[in-house]
Amino acid sequence: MTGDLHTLGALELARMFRDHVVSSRELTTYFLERIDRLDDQVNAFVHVHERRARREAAAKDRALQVGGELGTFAGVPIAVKDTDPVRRSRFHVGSRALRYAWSPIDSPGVRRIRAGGQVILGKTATSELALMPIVETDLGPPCRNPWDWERTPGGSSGGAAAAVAAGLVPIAHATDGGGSIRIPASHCGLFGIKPSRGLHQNFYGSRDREGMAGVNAVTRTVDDSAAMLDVLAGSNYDPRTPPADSILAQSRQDVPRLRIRYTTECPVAEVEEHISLGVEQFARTLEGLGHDVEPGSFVPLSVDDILPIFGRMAAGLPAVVERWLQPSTVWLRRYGQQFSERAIADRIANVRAVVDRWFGDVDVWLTPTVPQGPSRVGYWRELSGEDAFRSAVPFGAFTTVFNISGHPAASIPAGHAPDGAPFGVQIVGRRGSDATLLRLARQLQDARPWASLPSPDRARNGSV
Amino acid sequence: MPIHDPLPRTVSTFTDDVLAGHDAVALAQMIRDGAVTSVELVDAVIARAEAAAPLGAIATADYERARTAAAARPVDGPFGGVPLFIKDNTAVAGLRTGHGSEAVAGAAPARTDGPPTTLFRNLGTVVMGTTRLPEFGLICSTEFPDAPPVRNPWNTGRSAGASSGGAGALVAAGVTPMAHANDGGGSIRIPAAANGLVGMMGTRKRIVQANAKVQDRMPIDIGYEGVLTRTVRDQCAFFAAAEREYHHSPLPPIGLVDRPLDRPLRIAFHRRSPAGPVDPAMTDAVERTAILLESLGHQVTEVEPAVGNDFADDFILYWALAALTVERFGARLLELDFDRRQLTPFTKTIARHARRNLHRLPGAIRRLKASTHHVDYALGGHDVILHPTVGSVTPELGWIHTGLDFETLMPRLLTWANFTALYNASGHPSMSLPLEHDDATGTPLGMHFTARWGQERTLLELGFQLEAAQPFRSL
Repeated sequence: MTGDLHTLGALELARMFRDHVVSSRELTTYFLERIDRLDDQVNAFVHVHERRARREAAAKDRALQVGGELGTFAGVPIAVKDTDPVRRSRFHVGSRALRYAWSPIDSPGVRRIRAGGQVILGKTATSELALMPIVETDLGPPCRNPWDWERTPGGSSGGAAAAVAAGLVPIAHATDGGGSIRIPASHCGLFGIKPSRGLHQNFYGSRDREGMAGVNAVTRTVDDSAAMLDVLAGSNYDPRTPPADSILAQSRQDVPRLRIRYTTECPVAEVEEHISLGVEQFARTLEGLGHDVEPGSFVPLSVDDILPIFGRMAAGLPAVVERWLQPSTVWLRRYGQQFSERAIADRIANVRAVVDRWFGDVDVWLTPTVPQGPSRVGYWRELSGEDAFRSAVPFGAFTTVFNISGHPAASIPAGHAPDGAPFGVQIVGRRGSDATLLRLARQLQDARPWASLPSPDRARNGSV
Repeated sequence: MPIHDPLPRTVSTFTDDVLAGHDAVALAQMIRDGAVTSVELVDAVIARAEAAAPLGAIATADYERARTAAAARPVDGPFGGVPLFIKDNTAVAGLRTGHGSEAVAGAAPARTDGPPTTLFRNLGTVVMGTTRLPEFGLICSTEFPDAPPVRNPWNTGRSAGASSGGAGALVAAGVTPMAHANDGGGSIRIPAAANGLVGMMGTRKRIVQANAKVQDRMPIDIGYEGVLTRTVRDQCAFFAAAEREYHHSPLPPIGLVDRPLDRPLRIAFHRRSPAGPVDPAMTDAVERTAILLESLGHQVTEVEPAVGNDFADDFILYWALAALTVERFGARLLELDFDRRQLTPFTKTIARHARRNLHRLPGAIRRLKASTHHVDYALGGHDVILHPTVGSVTPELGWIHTGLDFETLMPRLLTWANFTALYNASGHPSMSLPLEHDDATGTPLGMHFTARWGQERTLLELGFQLEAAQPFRSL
């Protein structure tokens, strides 16, 4: 086979597998070899299931010979974020407190991914309890950004984004409880969508009663993300029925003329100049594509409206021994404990009402994904617990409110900072309008194509 | 249970007295204008209530105090002087709260008004007494193992629905223009459909809760207060007035809706129920309603239900938990003289169902909570979801009653009450409108509309528009 399989999208690879151009074993071997060669630098994986992946791949090849329903992403390797248990695999959620944990079962999300026909290569790193927008845990070396080894790939799905950006897997499962798909996608030059609340079942049950966590993937193409939504969609009540009208098919229809409002500012954080310029360029591109574009201002909420909700959620997460947690995690859990369940429910209702009012009568909002570029690896280590978490807040300034309100939001690669690090812009749709958002994203992908792999001219590391 | 009494087929108490066919808003206006006094209305209601006796809708009549109150009270409040009945599961000071159960027969009268009664008194209404419900409102027909049922005024051989069955029968027969009702699985909307009335439950916590202390502690609050009325205008006036008495701050205010919709909506409809079979009569009716909506300029598309078929199992289990709570802790919870042995077979057996399946409860609660998200998602591309209020035409009396056990009764319930409970779990505002009629049985059929979180206004405006386009039948 050719040596550039890692430049292709997952759907493209699935098509090649189905057409017998490449076998699942070849794909698996190819990506395992890349992991073996490159992951020492990236540190994206916390666990690689090499032998099991080869066995699964061989089974896919046999299934292809037999025929029958293989799934959307049949034969294509994927990595699962360490927030979801995979059967017979370690389950640490980035925490030293859980370092002995091991799972006998697949999570509901992983079961769906398996039903999509994919071969699971391993588990990708996440920050401790998936709370921070960086991946620097006490379990292993920090995860690094393939565009610049000195910088973080973002978080909490940092391992997933770094793995896709470095070409270690064509698509990686990711979860977004406060921006954790969109922030690393933005930092690593990838596409990622947090779906509408209610598009898929509530995967995290009692740990996430309010349904804040959106699950999908970080991908090279809009198509891959759309197809992944089809794999994951459905309610708790019909986990096996595919949606009547697939989101991928809907996302390929023509884009209607949309009303779009954009903003380059928010009350919580300072937006770097090149990022606000990027948003404005996008606004002009959208105007050029025939949409009605007008300026606006961001959701009028402060840190104190949002932080207690996440504190309370963190306080409810299981952790075996508190003294094995990182200082920022301990601080957030203690901070969250002071709020009652009732008070949090009222805050959530308030945020939802404010965001609904703010959204207004437009179809889509355009904002920066992250107001800053990726921070330097190790920067957070020097801060105390509270300072570390408070300096993490600006990274979620544009993303977290939509986890609470349940609106779908996607990050699209928008360009590069003067020092080469990629950044993204975020598009936010009405609840339930995921397909429209993906249509718009595809239109932007065609109008302003992006390079999802570090290129020698842009990346500080050269090409990986 | 065959009916032997020589009953009239329909019971209507509409005459040319002072009540005539007026709705509550009209009566309140007449009182304010001095055209009629509250005492005259109370006397007319008493006369009509006697004429409606065959329906068996009233639990406790409190006419003497009503007369005194009507005479003594200065007329104020948006419904000042309008007579109204409270449902017999809500405390009215001085009256025994019956809950439709023999188990609390020996209880003392309530010392104070419950929060809904206080709300209605603040709105200026005159409380005439209480209306019947099946035991603890656990089933959807107001029938009892050995007491006469509440009869449907459109067809006395058929059910009046439940649990607000007494309220529904009274308003449809014309005794009062409006009656208090509450909804824990469809108990406002099912009697509205069965009796040809307008019934609406607001968004979760829109109206003052019957027992905020208990409801806020439950994993999912499925209780909603409201009224049954003959006109959309009364619902609008009630919701506008009720939110002035109690406003849950995160919800956008409704305000007084006084005109029909003036913009096209995107409306989704489905014929399939997420819980049970649907009668062809109902699917035909919902199609006619969809056509009516299209003719009014709305964009109507057919969709699938927001949740799958296992939803019913989860909701029944959660529902059974309520019965188990009553059975185990009835005495403490209701602060009443409670005799567990007097409970009906249905309550005992549904409580047993809960005991046997307690291990499934955490999962059920988790999935039920997520139903909010799925309904939100289903409403993402649409302003309103339409489907029939119930899955079949109103059943005959005797088909559903609390003398049956859980295993017999539950499949029967699910052929009828198989749409409404989703919104009790999800918390979205929902309304039943009497848009259709079944000529074979002579009973009305309800159509069910659900709007986005906090968007009661859309529902009421749509209700106004549909009422004008296709006026509701009255007895």
